[in-house]
Amino acid sequence: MSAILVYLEKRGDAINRASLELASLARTLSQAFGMPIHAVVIGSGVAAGAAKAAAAVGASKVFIGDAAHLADYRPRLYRRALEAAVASSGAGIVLMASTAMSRDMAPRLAVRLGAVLATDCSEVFVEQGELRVRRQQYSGKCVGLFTLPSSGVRVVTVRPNTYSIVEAGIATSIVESVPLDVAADQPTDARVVAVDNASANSESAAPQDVTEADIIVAGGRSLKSAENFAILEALAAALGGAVGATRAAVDAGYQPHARQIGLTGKTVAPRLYIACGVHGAIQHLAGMRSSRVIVAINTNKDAPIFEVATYGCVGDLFEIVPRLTQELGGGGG
Amino acid sequence: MENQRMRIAVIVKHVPDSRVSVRVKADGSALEQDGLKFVCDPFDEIAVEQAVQIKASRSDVQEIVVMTVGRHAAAEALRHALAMGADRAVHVLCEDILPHEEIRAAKLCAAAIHQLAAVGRGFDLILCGVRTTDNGAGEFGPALAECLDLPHAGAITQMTLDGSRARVRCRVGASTGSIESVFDVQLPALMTCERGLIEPRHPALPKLMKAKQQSIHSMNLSESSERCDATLVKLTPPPARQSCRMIEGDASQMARELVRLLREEAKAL
Amino acid sequence: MSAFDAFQPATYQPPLPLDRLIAAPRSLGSEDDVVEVDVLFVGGGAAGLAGAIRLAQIAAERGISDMLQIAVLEKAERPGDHCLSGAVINPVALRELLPDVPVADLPLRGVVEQEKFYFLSGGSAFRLPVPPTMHNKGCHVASLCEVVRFLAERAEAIGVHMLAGYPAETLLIEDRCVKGVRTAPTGRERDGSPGPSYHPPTEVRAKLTVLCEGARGPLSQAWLACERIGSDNPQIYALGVKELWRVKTPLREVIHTVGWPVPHDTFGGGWMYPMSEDLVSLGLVVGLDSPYADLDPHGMMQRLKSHPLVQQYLEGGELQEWGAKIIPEGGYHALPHRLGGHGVLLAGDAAGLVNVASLKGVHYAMRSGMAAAEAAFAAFEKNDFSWSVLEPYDRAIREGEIGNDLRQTRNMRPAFKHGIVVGSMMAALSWLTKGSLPPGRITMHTDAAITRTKLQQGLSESSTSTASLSKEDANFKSGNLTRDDIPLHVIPTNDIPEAVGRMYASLCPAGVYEWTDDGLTINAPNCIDCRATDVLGPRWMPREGGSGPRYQRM
Repeated sequence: MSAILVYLEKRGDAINRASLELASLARTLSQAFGMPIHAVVIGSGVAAGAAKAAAAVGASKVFIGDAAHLADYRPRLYRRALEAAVASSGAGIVLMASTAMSRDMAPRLAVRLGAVLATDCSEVFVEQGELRVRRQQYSGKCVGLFTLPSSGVRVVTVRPNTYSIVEAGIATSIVESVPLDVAADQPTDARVVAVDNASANSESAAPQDVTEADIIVAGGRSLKSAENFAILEALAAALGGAVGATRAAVDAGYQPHARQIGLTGKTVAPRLYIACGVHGAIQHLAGMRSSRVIVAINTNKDAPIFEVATYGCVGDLFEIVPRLTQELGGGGG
Repeated sequence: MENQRMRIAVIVKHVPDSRVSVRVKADGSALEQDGLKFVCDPFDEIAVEQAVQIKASRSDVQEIVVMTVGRHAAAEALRHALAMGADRAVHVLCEDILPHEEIRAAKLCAAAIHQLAAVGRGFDLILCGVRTTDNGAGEFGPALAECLDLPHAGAITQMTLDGSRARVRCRVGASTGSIESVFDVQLPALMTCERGLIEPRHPALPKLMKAKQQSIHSMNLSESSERCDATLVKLTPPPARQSCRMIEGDASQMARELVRLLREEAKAL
Repeated sequence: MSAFDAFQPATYQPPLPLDRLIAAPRSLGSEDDVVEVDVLFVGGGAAGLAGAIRLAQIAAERGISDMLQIAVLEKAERPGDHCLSGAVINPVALRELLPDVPVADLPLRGVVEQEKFYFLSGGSAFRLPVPPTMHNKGCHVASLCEVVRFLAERAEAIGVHMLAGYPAETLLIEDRCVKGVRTAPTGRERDGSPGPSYHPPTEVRAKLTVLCEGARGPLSQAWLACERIGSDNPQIYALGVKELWRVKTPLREVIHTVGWPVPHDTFGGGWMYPMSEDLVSLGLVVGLDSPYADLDPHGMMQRLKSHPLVQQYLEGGELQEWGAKIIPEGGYHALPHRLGGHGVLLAGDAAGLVNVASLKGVHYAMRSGMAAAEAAFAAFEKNDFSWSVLEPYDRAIREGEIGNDLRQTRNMRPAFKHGIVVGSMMAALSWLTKGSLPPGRITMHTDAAITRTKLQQGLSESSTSTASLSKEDANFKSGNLTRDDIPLHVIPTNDIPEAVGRMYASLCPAGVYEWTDDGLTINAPNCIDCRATDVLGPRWMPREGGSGPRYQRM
């Protein structure tokens, strides 16, 4: 019987949170199709924690590719390890979190296995006995509903934050560990060599780029001056986010053009977008409306920004923002 | 490669202009074509510009071949790339290919590259956009690399070539902060280009005029192309947002309540 | 603004920067900077494309297609993206140009079946008989964008070099003979210096340059000024603001309105045309020879939408697109005394070939382009592009159908300088007598010479109806994605009084101008190339290709 294989992506010393989020989906599919859940872990020194991580996604078996040459991510080598896991597990469905690694690897795996691929899905479900997914297309302007065939291998990658982690884990009596034998690099294999894996900008003092930030605090012309943006900087710092601005604020010289959000500036879709004194011109909304959670703080209750906001505060941003920073334990008070 | 000259392929896609609003047909089968404008994908433009810059900075680049897999009308994207500075264009014709069929496109493209290599030398460097603005999945690049059994570097934001080795900076953490890694890649290889790599330029007018008259090599391989991607059931506009939840109280109360909601309800912190 | 000193906009209008618009040809460096063709049409609208197609057709008929290189230079990234019209089009020129294309395949929408004409007051509409010049029997509702895109495809198919995305910035003149144009550079920083993606200009040299730049074309203006070519009356203009709506209630007739919200001492009127079952084109045209210092055509258009006659259709509908454009309204007496010179011809709106009385210009534009093509071919055969050879074009326009139509209605629009009541009566008289009465020529002044003495005082304030659109949001709906750091392309006079600055801010439908405590603020990327302020104030100059609106079905 074919199985559901969950790829547990290693991130630093731990398993990527986004991979653990796949637990509830794996269980749903397992029940719908009557397939057992298996897991696979690849890396160096990963064997020790593998069974525990596998239990967290309800797997009865975990395939472990643990070797020194697997320490760093290398697309073709990792793909080979996954291929071996699919073969040993007899997997019919491979689930991965949608990350930079799976974006690289899932298409390679699908081509290699002749599998059908669905990437970056925002919803995965069973309908009329079929495996179906929804995913955004056309920069979020449309959502496509797709169906995957009922046989063969199907590779599905799921957007982070789509499912919540099952906190208690799913108790399975025993997780069986199966080592994978992944041959070391050969001349025909990957020639990509990581030489500097630690160039994370996030630790540097430079302000984060808005297109890459998970949290954005944005201000409009009602900030009234470049200096007043300091209160947004403080909130952004407390949240670990970046500061953005509307075109009007940029045109007024309050912020550099690189921070402009909107259709003629940067298009962003962070996890959290806090719009402070942003009226909500269509051109601005077009650049941020696919953010997951939007907070609007504005004195004008009729401002269009409230039409796209998740949470709204009608009030003076100069009063609310510093208190918000304080609540979050930032030094804004 | 010392005595051999470098050949670069750039793969482009003809896509609806992402800056223009799109509407879904009433039956959900596709986009409404009325008023739709197609362009060369902006990520692919970055790839073309990168290739043109490599050629301008080195004396050993033999040619830049731009390729596309698509309908007859997709030739427009090829002409655009020619006007930007590509030398030659190859059109892998496939009239019934759908925007989301990235694996199928990769297989067709690989078949065409194999055919071209059979009569000449293969490509040393293949470039394309990290993703396209229509389907947005970014499956094409890695899938093509696998079909050709080549190494690849994804989402590059910087590239320096030294002989037949490339050093590239790749964006590996776009969704979780700004993390970039540097890789050494031995050519031949495929690379997908991310924003920030290079700023594409408007084609020069004399080049555009020449591009309009240049012949395009068409290849018809569609009989060997079976559908192998997921099947589109329906396209819908994005779901409407739930209406805004207004938070009441004075500034302090609002701040406190907002933080609570963001933590507990929205799980956004 | 409450009180202000009356002023003439002309006082504060900078002169046309001829040094920027006219230059001698020169090699710009490498050979990559020059393109040579035989005939160049500057502007890929109805006139330029019809002309290019006609010329290519004649060359094909004579079997010399390979010897005659024809190019069309267009500033928009895609043909049609900058074209805007009502529009009800007389298909006669399209049929003439493309007789082999069945009418059903022409890019036209429905035939006009029912027409209504209303006088509007604040809340009511009085139906009037349709003025005789405005009958549209046999005409079609159309989108000029669609017509132009169709023509562009035809032109390409017949071998014309369609060069979209390349604005002509400078007219090349040597010994009084036009030698072609120089395109605008791209990729300049805000301060004008070359940026990382800079591309220098290209010289497009041609034996004949046909200027089809549309109303207030900068090269056309510069050439006329350079040659000191005048007209009996100065050209006058109106600004049209247009919206395209997806509606739930189908519109079945073509509607024209006069009166509210346009004040009685200002020329203007509204329209509503059915584009399809669920698509309606609506707009408002306002004359720029108005006495109001705070004339705000966009604001008036927003008010028009709140009138019951219009609102009933918009209820539950959705705005699709927005745009604006000026229209030359001077008619016969405003035609330049000479429509060409050595190596150059003027066609379409650039020459002022619009008949305001019948609200038609597209087929005149096409026909003038086609006439230019005939003249161009005759000159090509003689290999002589001097004015003596090209001159039959001037006669063909002035004495042919276009000239005849314009002559008959020559005093209709000028009559309205006396206001709508007297104007309507004089216009009626003029029609009855085929233009003979009122006798002589009504003398006109340039729009900029009309003294601004009044304020609309909130008349133009946007209504609170949900359909109302701010200039900022309107700009977005024009598809304008001009890059934000584009250099300034409009030239104002320094140190203008507040009333003048506020006039620019009110007049500009796209929010390019703002009057703030710091004086005049210019948001250059907002410009949608309507060229309204070029008539009354700051000069509009060509800028980087691909800037401006991206109209889809305007």
